[in-house]
Amino acid sequence: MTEQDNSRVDVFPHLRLIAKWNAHPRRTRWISAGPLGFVMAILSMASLPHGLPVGAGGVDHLVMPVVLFPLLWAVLIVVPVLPERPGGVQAAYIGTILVELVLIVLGCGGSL
Amino acid sequence: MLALIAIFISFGALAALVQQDPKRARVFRQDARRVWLSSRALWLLCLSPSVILPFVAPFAHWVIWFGAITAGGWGLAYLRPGVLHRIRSALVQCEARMLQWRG
Amino acid sequence: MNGPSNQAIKRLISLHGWSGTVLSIFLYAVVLTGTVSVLRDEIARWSDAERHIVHPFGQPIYATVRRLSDQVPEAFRAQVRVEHARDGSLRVFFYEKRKIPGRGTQDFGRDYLLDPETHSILAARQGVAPHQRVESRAHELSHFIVDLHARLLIPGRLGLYATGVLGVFLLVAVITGILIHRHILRDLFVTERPGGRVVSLRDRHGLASVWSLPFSILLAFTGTFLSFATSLGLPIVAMSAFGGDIDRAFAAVTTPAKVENAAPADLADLDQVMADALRISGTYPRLLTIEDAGRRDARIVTLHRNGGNGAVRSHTLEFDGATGAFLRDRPLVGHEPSVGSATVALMSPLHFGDFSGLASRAVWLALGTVMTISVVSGMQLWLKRREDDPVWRSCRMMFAAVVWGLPVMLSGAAYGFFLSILGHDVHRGTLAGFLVSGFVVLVLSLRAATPVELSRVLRRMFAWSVLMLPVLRLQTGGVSWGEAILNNIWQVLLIDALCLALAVILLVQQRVQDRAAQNALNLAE
Repeated sequence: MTEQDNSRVDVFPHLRLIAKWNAHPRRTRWISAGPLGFVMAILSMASLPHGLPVGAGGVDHLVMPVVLFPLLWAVLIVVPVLPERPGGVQAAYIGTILVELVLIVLGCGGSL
Repeated sequence: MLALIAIFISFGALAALVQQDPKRARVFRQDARRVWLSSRALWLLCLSPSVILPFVAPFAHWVIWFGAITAGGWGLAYLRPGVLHRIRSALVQCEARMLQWRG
Repeated sequence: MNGPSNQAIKRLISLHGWSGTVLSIFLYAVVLTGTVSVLRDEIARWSDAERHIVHPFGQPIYATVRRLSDQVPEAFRAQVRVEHARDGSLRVFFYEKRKIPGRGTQDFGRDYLLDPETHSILAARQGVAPHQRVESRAHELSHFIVDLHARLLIPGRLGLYATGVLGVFLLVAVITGILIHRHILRDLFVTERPGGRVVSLRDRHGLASVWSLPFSILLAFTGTFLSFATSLGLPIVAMSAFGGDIDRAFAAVTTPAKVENAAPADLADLDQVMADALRISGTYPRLLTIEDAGRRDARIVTLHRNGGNGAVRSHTLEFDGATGAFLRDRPLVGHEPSVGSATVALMSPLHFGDFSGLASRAVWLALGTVMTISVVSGMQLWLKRREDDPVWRSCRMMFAAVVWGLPVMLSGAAYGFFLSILGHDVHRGTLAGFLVSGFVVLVLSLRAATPVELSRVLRRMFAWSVLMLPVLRLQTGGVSWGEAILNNIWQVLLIDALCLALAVILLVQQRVQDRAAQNALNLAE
């Protein structure tokens, strides 16, 4: 890494983590396409009811996440395979999982 | 009935497309095929029911048409060039054998 | 727009191959049995020895429902389900929602199976749904095939998870296949080149996969939804949005709001409601439910088979339970029609292909066949490319055993069914037939010298077994062709004709291949 890269990493330390993931692209792809993708798909089913509009019948927010789950999971398996450096994809997956968890906690807290 | 007519039209267009496909002719080392209509015109004819059917028939008819042309398109493409000629030869051979047997 | 890079294409090919290969045997089983399941109603009628079948909803049912209602405990009278049972009988289930320790709220009540013509009671049982159901013997064969497709015979939720995961892997294979195949349109009409080389198998796989692409996506998507919706989706949504209360979640999705009115009122004339439902939808209902019978706010809901009047999605008609007046076409889920309800309503008809009678089923049967060829040719291509690898070479035998072995086992299940219909437990008999033929396939696989020889033997075995099936059916009390024509039981003629045609095609094909092989051998000598 150059001096410029090092200074960027000091400002954005998560870049060091992504660089570490890019150093082992196969492992990163397996983790992203495997457990991370599955967890993200499951959590999307749990979190989207708290974010989607309810629709005219009052059930779209409950039904559409279940309808989209298989397609979403399949796409999440394929996406990490595409880029040469999958570290960013893994970071995006982890970030999305955290957002979904927040949505679930806020949604459950609101309904209690 | 409308779906049936649409399927018939699309099948006809697909059969022509199969017959005049250049890559198929190249792969099976066939002579230049007679071009009935341009590929674009044939594709337009083949896919025209997809635009017309929704306005003149229920959705189920469109679904049946679409399913039929994808399954039928595979069937038409699957047959190797000259299959009709080979079937005819086989039938002629069968007839000759039967005549021989009858004596 | 630039497509994926060459390195990405290589990785996609790897993912495509592995996602298709790892579970290919089970995927093949699901796709093949799914194709056969398209004709489940025809198979059910073909395997049924009854000469004359009356549609249970073609007879008046109101008097019978009232008579039975007077016999059941009062707690069971409010909720009633009247359905066209799978064997053609009339099924009436009186029940209440009861909290069962360890199982939550379940439907508990008394189930009656009635003769569709005379409404005499054939069987009755009380218990928790679905174990209270009294199943008829006659349609066990079609149940078995459908259960093999939907759950791979694995009981409970695990079976649904298994088929759901297979559906997701099929979607992965489809998505990666689209990204890999750069010249989809250019190769649309290139059929398999002769020679049995890698490129020939690639042509075969590519052709079948490309043409079946839209329906592979559709069937994988709808199938996975049907597997996961209640087994995984509903519990997760319940946990997240309803504090874990699955009953509340289910009620929120399926039970529309209504103005409560507990004033007593007689139930409306069900026969009039049935006539109105037939007129509106064009088909008899599959199921009629009565909600809150005996109250002013009672509702009668008829759930119709798909089709009728050219619609794809099923109709759910709602009637006033006290007056019998038609209220509305109720969405399958939700209070009002919406994107969600329309999408869910399309899932079943587009998966089963039964929305337009024999026309749609014929198309779905053809597409299922093309999909099966796509799965099998994909495996053949994978194994051909790895001919030199000893591990994959040994898999070729297993693959050959499964490709023709599974049809042999399905035929064996039919033999088991017909042999046990005469007096034994048909469920066990069908399963025994399946397993015994599986054992035979295993023994033949162990004895066969090469995969080609094994395929040859199993294909011939399947052809002969299917050729004799109509004979066995007739000899075990089945409907003859004359009776079928007289009583308009066209399903018997159709399935018998399919059995004979399939057998003849396979045997002629085998003969042609044997002759070609013999000619090649003679030339070599």
